Amino acid sequence: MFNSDLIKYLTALSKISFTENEEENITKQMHDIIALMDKVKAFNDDVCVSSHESIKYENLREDTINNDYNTKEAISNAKCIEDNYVVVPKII
Amino acid sequence: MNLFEVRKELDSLRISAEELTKYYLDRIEKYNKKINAYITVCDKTALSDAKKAQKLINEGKSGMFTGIPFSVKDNICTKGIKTTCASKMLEDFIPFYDATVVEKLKKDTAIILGKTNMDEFAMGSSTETSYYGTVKNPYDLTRVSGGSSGGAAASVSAKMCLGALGSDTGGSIPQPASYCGVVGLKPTYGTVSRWGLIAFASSFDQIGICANSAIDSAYILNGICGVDDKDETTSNKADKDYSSKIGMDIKGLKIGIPKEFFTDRIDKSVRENVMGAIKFFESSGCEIIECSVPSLEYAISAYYLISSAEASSNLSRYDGIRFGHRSDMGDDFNSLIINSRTEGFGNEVKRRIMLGNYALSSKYYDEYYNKALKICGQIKKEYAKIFELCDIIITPTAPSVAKKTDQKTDIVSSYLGDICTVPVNIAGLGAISVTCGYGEGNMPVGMTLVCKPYDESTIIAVCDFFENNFTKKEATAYEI
Repeated sequence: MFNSDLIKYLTALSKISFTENEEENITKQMHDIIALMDKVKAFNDDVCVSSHESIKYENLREDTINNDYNTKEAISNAKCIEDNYVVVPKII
Repeated sequence: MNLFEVRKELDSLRISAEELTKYYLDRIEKYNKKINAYITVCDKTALSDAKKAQKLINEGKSGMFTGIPFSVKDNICTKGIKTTCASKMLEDFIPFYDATVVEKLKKDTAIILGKTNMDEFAMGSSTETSYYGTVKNPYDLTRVSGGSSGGAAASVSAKMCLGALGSDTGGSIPQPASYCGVVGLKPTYGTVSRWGLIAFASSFDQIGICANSAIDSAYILNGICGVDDKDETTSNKADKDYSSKIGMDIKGLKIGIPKEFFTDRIDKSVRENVMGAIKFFESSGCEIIECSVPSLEYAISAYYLISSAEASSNLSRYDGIRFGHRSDMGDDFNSLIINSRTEGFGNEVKRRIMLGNYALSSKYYDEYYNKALKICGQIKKEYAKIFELCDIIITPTAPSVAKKTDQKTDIVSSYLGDICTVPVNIAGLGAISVTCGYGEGNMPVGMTLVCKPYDESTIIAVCDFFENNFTKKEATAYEI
């Protein structure tokens, strides 16, 4: 059942936030979406193999260092940089 | 003219690369305001590349794509050109590398006319979630172009390019192609490298093509397919020449018609047009075999659970720190990230991230995500069983024609509209959509031909056969 606690839990996991009005709307929308998702509960999975069991990782390449990109390019889209460092608010 | 014919015109110097490029740039200038297919138009670089292309043509060194103008969906990275995913989150993001598919086009000196509009982060079926506004349908400007590759499909339909690269996660190429009256080819998963495609759901995403004809889609697929050591999921089973079966005799071809795709949840005019095409194939000597995908009723739910789960992980990189929208508000690290994401993402993206986190959370993982994985495995098996008896499968591409832009659709109904396309992504198969008739409001109706893994050559050839016996109506509404 979609309630305020569940929405708060999911917004924390998703790292997004809603105003009170928006929270009311999103609760109703998620309730309807989950009702559609509940369809999967009726599926009888006693003899089914998960689809991801068939993926085989056979062609992994060697982990080699190359110089395709430089630091300046790599941080060229960061909004707040200083001397090739990305600046963020204090973490600790 | 198809791509091959344009190639001949260029190589015989009857037209120049610059003339051809200018022709399309002029059309974009004239019509894009009405249609909104392009987010970014690369007029300067396109004309400069056209000069380089012409030099190669003059020297007799042209490749298949030299001087050919393409549009590229705005979730495919283009070095030095803004790549926004139609989102405020990436509105000023400029990649410092090209996607592999773009590298392949550029190696041949193809012309990139611009970046096409789409649903935000490819999440949607109408481009109504785009930060840059909806793409209008060239057949009727009061209707949507479909999505998420709506801009790609509309750019081909309104002759604002010769071919378009799009992407597909749950039908985002065939559906807008169907709505806009063009061909849309979604290759078998692993045919085309995803390196440089901004990820939505990595186990479903695939770059594909919108084109004027099946044969054009074959030529373009030839150029962009193949193993890439930057994408471990690419396969060495890609064909050498996807046009190789064009002209083949289709007598005796076994066509599977899954009954679940022809119920009354598909609009009557769509069913009638697709059945009309099937009858044509039967009268041409094909064998029509009724078959079944019993687990189809779970496909939508399974698709949205898995794609949203993968999206919640893929979109966790958007924190405003290294790239993307960064909020001005946020006294601490966590608040900065939350505010950046809240401001940067649209509502549909937020809903899917929430749904994905719900499905993956410890309390609900088994009953939703794991269950969805098993449904996907079962749907794959059901398609494999059909292909033991059939060569191809035909279904409608979408349950209806393109809707009006002022028609309000609730979220669940819009998800259910993907019922014809998501099973193909779940099964990882290749599919091509082609116009097979005209329905409500004289809008194009598309049918999808689904192939065995890596057998796009067959569906391309069958599609080409159909096109040669079908009179297509061109879009004209946007020219008025």
